[in-house]
Amino acid sequence: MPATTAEIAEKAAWGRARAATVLASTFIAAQAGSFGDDLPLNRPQALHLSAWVVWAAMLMFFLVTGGNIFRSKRLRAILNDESTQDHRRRAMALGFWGTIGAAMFLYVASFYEPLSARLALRLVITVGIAVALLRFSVLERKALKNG
Amino acid sequence: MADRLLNTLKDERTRLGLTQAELAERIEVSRKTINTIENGVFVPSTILALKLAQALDRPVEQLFRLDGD
Repeated sequence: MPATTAEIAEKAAWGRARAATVLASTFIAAQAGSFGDDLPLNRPQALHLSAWVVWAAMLMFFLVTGGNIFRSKRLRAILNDESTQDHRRRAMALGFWGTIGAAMFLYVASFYEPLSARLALRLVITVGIAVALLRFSVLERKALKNG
Repeated sequence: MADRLLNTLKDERTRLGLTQAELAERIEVSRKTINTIENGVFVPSTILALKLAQALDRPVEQLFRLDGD
């Protein structure tokens, strides 16, 4: 028997919640491995660091749209229904606070350790995006359970 | 004290022999939305509340009420 739209949406929602966790974790881990790369740029480093901007933008796109962009309009509407929109808003609010917290921390840290603007901005953006993605994942998973 | 919204969604849904997924399919939302409404975690919009009332063939005031009413 072919899967109903509800069943497909359920499966896609679980996949999206798990993907958000994996994407956030990978993003954080990748930053940890490249903080020393913030040096005067040569071409390979410029490419590497530019790729990070593209990666960050793609994660923001995923967070804002909920992914699944090649699915039908009907399925996307179900996947981005009211509760998902609520989760997204709450996740982005927490991401905002994470961003502010990181910026304040780095401001204080800059009195003790020299910090380039590029490094500080990468850290702030990483925290903001990762916090939002993780929060979204947690909210979605909690809602999907207990069914 | 913040207002709490109570609901009889689960009772009305099971009265009609519907699963959460079936009710979700009827009003074009995800099962987790029905789940979080039933558990009191998520407060639906007016439009969604009216859609639920229509799907369950009950007045919206019978489905939802404020705690203390």
